[in-house]
Amino acid sequence: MRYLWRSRPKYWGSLIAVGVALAAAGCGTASNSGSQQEDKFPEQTIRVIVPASPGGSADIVARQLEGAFSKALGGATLRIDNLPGGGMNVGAVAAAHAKPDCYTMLVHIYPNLLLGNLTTKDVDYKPEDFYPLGTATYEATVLRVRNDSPWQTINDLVNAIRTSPGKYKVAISPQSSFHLSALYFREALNLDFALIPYGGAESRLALEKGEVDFLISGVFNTQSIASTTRVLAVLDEANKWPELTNNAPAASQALGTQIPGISSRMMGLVPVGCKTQYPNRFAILEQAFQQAVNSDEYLEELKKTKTEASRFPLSAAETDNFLKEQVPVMKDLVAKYEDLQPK
Amino acid sequence: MGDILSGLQLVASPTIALTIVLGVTLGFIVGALPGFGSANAAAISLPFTLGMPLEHALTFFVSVYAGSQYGGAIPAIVVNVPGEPGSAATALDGYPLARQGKAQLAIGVARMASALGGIGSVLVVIAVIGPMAQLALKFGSREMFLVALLGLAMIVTVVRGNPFKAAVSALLGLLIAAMSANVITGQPRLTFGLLELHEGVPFVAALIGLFAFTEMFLIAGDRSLRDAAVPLPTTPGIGRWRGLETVKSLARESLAGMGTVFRYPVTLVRSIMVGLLFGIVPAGGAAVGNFLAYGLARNRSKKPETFGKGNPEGIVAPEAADNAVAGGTLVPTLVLGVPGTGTAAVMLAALILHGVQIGPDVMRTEGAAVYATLFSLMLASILILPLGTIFATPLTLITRAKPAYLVPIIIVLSAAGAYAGQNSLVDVGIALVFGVLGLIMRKTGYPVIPLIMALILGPIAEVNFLRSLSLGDNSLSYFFASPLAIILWTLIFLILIGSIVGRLRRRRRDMGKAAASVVDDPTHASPART
Repeated sequence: MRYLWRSRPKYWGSLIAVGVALAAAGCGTASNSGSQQEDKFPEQTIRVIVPASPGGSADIVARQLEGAFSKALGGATLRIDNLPGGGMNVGAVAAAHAKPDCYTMLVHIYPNLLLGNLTTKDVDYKPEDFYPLGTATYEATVLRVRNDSPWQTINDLVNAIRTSPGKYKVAISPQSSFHLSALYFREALNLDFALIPYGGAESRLALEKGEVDFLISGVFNTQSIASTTRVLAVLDEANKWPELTNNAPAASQALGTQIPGISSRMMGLVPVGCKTQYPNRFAILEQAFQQAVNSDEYLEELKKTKTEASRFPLSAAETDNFLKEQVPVMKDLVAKYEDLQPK
Repeated sequence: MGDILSGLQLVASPTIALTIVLGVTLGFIVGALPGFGSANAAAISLPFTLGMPLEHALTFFVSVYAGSQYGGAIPAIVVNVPGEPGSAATALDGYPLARQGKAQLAIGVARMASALGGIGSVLVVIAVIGPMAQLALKFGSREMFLVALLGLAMIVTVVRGNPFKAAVSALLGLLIAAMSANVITGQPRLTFGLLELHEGVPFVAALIGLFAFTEMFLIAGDRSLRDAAVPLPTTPGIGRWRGLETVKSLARESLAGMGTVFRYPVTLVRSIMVGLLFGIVPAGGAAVGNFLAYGLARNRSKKPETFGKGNPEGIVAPEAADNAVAGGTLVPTLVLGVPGTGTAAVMLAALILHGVQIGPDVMRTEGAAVYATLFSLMLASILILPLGTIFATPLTLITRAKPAYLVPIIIVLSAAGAYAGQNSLVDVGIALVFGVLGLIMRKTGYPVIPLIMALILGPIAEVNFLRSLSLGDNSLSYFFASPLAIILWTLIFLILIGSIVGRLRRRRRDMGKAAASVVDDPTHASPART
């Protein structure tokens, strides 16, 4: 026993910490009783709201970034607060209404962040309630079929859909970038196929089971089914990930038609009051976020999940410009597609 | 075979053994706290396990899981408040036994059944994990809909008494289950403007309300119970606190309970199989699997009328199924990346963060770690026996606490558990609403179990039904278009016919005996009624 304690102090430390954390969790959230001085930030635990359950893609991004971000903040403690529900909206609403003292931040995904109040009733936040700290990752959309599928190219698939309109089915995750990409793909080529909604992991499984004919999902999140399925096309401007996507062409190039693609972007955000009321604190957070996203430590974490090519560092201002550009785009999209409109 | 041996080598280390002890202990504690649950404990522990080697992290999670599946049975037996959703079925016969002063016996039965359920399911999974994953792949949306329908049909086997009241309860459950955003169109239905309801009524909160709050309301509302210590034990030697003597006799009774399990080998094996199936096919997990194992045990029993009144067999079935679900759920989690339970979802996150590519290749790339995880679950199940004895004995003393103290403590703990589910105060409110609903149902003689099963199975049935309609171009023939679907339809048909025939036969027998027919329902083992 003594030997064990000596040989693995870190390991036992973590196990004990588990117990302490559990006890602390029962005590609820620490109240904000610290000083409001701008020069000593952060002085308390920073709450990182993740609007998904542990294991969801936003959760994985937050946890991979956690170590580097904490280090960049001088060893500040971060507490990941999983608030799932309402299609990522419960967490976003909680963050929008949090005290804007820069001790609460949100990890969210574009386009879901912009779609929340457009596509769902009862959602009490607007994208303008947040200001970004920056972008961390980028995930392009791909179209996958099973290895035993008769279609070798995207052109084969499109021809098959044209020959038998309404016959073929695609698995998508509702209201994700993949869903929007599928809508664009269907419209740009004037195709008739059915969109079947599934949760993320379920959509991949639906393709493996052969329940659907193809899947529109992410470059990285479909790596788990890379050995039993293949990519026919990347729904992005160009294929920047040839080794992960069977060297498939970009759909627009292969089909000779401009097909707009939507890709997910993971970003860190704070309630906008953090930037306006506590500019110094915001600057510290922004700088730390940028430092973390660009750090080797974060890259190592991404390498573990073979997603290092997803890193996409954008500054707060760049991310903000992008979001501002995209707000009207999303509004038009929702106005155009009945599928997306709130019922 | 090589992977199995490497897996065994990974497990055969003192650090793994200690990880299991810690995990089972932690699991037991969170399992015994209503609503807190192993999924929460796992989620909170997740960041700390990232620094561990993968097999240690997985070992930790499965140990927490196994410990909590057993721990949840303790409050279910002692105070009719299930600690985990899976323990709700355990309360049906466990609580009546505790009321008879045989809490230790009931806990002993639960302990042995849990351990054997875990060990049995792991042995099966180790033998056939490959083909099992293939089986899981055969369950498409259509088959999942039929499994949910099968579960709903089996409500009739779980609940006795007035079939009309059971049907009303099940329909109410289905209606409440529909209080969500439409799973396909996103249209909110009866959500009262609450975003928290868009993904359905939080199940853990509902369960805490229906069991913990309802039970405490009943105790608080009964003057004779409120003012006196719980009128308990009748077993000689446990009547009064006599120091070491008491502990000894408690331990004796507990051992007797553990031995009792071996009197029901058929029930044990059947329940393990039911648990395995509900672990592999994510259709409600332990919460549904346990009720079905219980219902089957009663239907096959020669003395079905003793169920709900403190028959140990009624504890063997759900507890064995409970821990068998834990083994079964590892199959879709590890091989398909689809977690059937909350704890499995956290394990999946740990695997992803450790850089494991979940999917059909996992057995090839991480075979040793997968087998090590399975062996750990088996070891954790074995450790339930000694550790469970140490932890559970003092907890049974709760039965002699004065309700005036017990009720507020359990209400506070349960409210904290409801909050912990999703870190949401709305969930505490929902638990309270369900507490009042449970109170009305218990007072008016409506069984709550059909409602609970409908609450879990309703959304599974709905989403898979709608998806199947789209997949089959709105043709109903799609629902009959696979061999597995035909098998499931046949099972549903047989269950319905069997229950009607059984009911008619019972009625004829009862009329023959001209016995007074007292409608009795196992969910009514409430102190207010006894």
